[in-house]
Amino acid sequence: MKKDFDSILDKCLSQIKTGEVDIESCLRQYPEYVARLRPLLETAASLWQKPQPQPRTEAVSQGEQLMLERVVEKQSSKAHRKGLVRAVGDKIGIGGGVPGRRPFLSPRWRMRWVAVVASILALFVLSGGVVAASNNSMPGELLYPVKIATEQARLVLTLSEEGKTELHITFAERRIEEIVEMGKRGEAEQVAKLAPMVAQHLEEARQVIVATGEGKTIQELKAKLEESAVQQLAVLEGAWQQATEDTKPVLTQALETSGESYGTAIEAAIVSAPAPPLVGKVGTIQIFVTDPPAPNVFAVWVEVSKIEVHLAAGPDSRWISIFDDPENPVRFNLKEIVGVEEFVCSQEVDAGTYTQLRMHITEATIVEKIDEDVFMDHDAFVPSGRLKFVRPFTIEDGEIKGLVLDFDGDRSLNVTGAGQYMLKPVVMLLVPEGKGKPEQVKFVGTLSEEEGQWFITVDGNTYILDLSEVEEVEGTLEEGARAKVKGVLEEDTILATEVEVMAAEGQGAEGQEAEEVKFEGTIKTIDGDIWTVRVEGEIKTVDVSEANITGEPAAVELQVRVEGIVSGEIILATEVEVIEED
Amino acid sequence: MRLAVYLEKAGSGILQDTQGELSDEAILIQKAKDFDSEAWAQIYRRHYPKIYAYLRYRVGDIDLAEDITANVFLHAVEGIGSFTYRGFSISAWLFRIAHNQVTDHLRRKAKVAIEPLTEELLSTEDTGQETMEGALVRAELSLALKNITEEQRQVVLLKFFAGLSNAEVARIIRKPEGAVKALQHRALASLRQILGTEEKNEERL
Repeated sequence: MKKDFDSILDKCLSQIKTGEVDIESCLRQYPEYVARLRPLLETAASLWQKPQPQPRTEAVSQGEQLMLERVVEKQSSKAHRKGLVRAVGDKIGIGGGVPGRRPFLSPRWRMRWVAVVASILALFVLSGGVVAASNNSMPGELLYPVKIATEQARLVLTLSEEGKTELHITFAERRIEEIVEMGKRGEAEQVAKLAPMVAQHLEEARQVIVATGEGKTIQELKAKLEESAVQQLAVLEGAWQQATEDTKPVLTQALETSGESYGTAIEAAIVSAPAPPLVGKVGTIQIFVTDPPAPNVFAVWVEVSKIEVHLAAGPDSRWISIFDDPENPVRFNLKEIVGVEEFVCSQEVDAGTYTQLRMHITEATIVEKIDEDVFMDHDAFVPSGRLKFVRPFTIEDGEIKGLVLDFDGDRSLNVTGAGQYMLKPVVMLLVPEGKGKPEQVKFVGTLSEEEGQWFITVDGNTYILDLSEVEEVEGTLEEGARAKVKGVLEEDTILATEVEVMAAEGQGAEGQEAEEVKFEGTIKTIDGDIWTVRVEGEIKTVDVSEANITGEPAAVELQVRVEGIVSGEIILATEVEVIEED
Repeated sequence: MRLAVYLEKAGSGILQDTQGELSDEAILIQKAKDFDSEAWAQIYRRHYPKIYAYLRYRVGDIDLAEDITANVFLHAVEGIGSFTYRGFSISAWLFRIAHNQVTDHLRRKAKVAIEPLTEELLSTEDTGQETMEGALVRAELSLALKNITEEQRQVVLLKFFAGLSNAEVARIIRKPEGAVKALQHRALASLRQILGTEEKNEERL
């Protein structure tokens, strides 16, 4: 019955709407339903009479212009089907995006686009709210085309070249934000579309930098680029590390593309405006390797004979070796470094901007577990042992920066048809934020040994002494001996770079705290780095090899202020100030 | 009929073309498919106000409604090639695009609903011509629409404001025609309760 009533109501509504009948005559047709029908028909009639919201005339005409531009584009594209219009659709990605591949406009369409953009801008000046709202929109969302169009409009309306460059950098950052968000949402296709847009914005920035040449603004742009690169690439790396199987390939591509684009733009900026030479300023690069979890193979031994980084410093640009020892290559097992970062090497380098890293893999061995205790080694073929990464990073004076080479063991290793293993390294260079800021330390402590591992006790704390980076220990490592150690402190390990064992001390030395001293005296003798200083009638021996020496050139009988630590009979100076005697 | 044959040969997908009115629209669609600017201008001017009104009630925000309306036509230009006539008017097709876009938008921005719109609807700034009375009526309606279900709201907007047929509404909201009729009934009953209370009271007096 209800269904019948629905139909009766509908029939009446249709008749009333077309003017065939009025409410009363309709009710007369269905006397049994008058009570039910009347209020509904009256409500419907009142709805028909309601005034409709009127659009703003400027919005109507702007919308029409926008649409007609599109019509014209479509018409032209009919002439050359595979032409450029699709690119426009791609670019503004209307309502979820029109499929296609070309992300950017040709110059001709860019000109046309300018006109459209100008009109859109006029519209948006009137409705800033939409523009503001669109700024947070993501690809595929309704307001995303507005975001892109607004960006284009801002580029068109920005006249100064450096202003344009800054905008390009900003928009590259936005695309990266979007890549990260799309990555999170698992929208691989959108990530793939966005990566070339990052590259394009940075390329535009690079071109302006090259064309503009020297000047203060270039320095500022370079700084902005570097800052942007550090932040954005770190964000992308974060996204990359959390990527799923679906998004990993596109995020890898995005990270590589972005790294390269930033790298080339920064190099261009450095060429245009070489930074003042950073004489004597050095930082340290540490290299780590890691591998995400992967099953199958028991061990994958990889040998790296050379790692270099590229210092971008205009005419002084050059490759700097971090590690170069073909005779004793670095050897690590990809299976052992799953989920951990293994230290590879460390090297002091000039402070500055670095844009690339390259390494040479000389050998790879796969260990297959055949049975419980049966293993078989296979030499894996490494088709391209040289790997290069374009990934800008900076080393500040005194900074220690850790770089992580993230091997994807699973994807790196292939089995060929003939059953041979092939290692095509799938590696990502990561510059983790906060990594590589371990404390540089220099102190004296007491050595101890346990099962071949040396420890050093300083201020009552015992640290593992990692000697792998020490070229030559001065003196002989002895249980209970006092040693002077320079290196990097990371949690409970001192990664030593220099170790000097001093005379073994007798009983009671263990745990002795290094005492800090500060005094003023007269230089009595100078023998290289070993000075004697008379302080209140007492002669102290001072080792100034590690000291920061300021003031006058050192000479006998000059006054000197010394700060340092007591190490047995010697004072290891950290600060030395030579003062002309009154 | 000759026209229909011609169009079919042209691959427009227009199969039936018996009424004069439809023929006009069929010709318009064919021209639109050829990206004829005048045809598109005609489609735009004819349908913009209703699409806009529909979206305004759906999303509330003036800017957003304008933006989505503009997008609807851009989408239409992109998609006209796939449009087949088959009794589904261009008006219904445009409303379907609008419906899809707004559904998509609401899904993504789950919080953008009709709620914040009352004040917006009260605003007379948008046209500069509308009376305060008109704005109040719309605000009242907007409030009433807020208090019915989403499906009922869609049917009311598409039938009473956009003027679409049951079949067209059914296709847009992807429900059988019978369901559209039932929704229409329930929507009117609910609106009667909300809007008509005062009126009814007056009648009784």
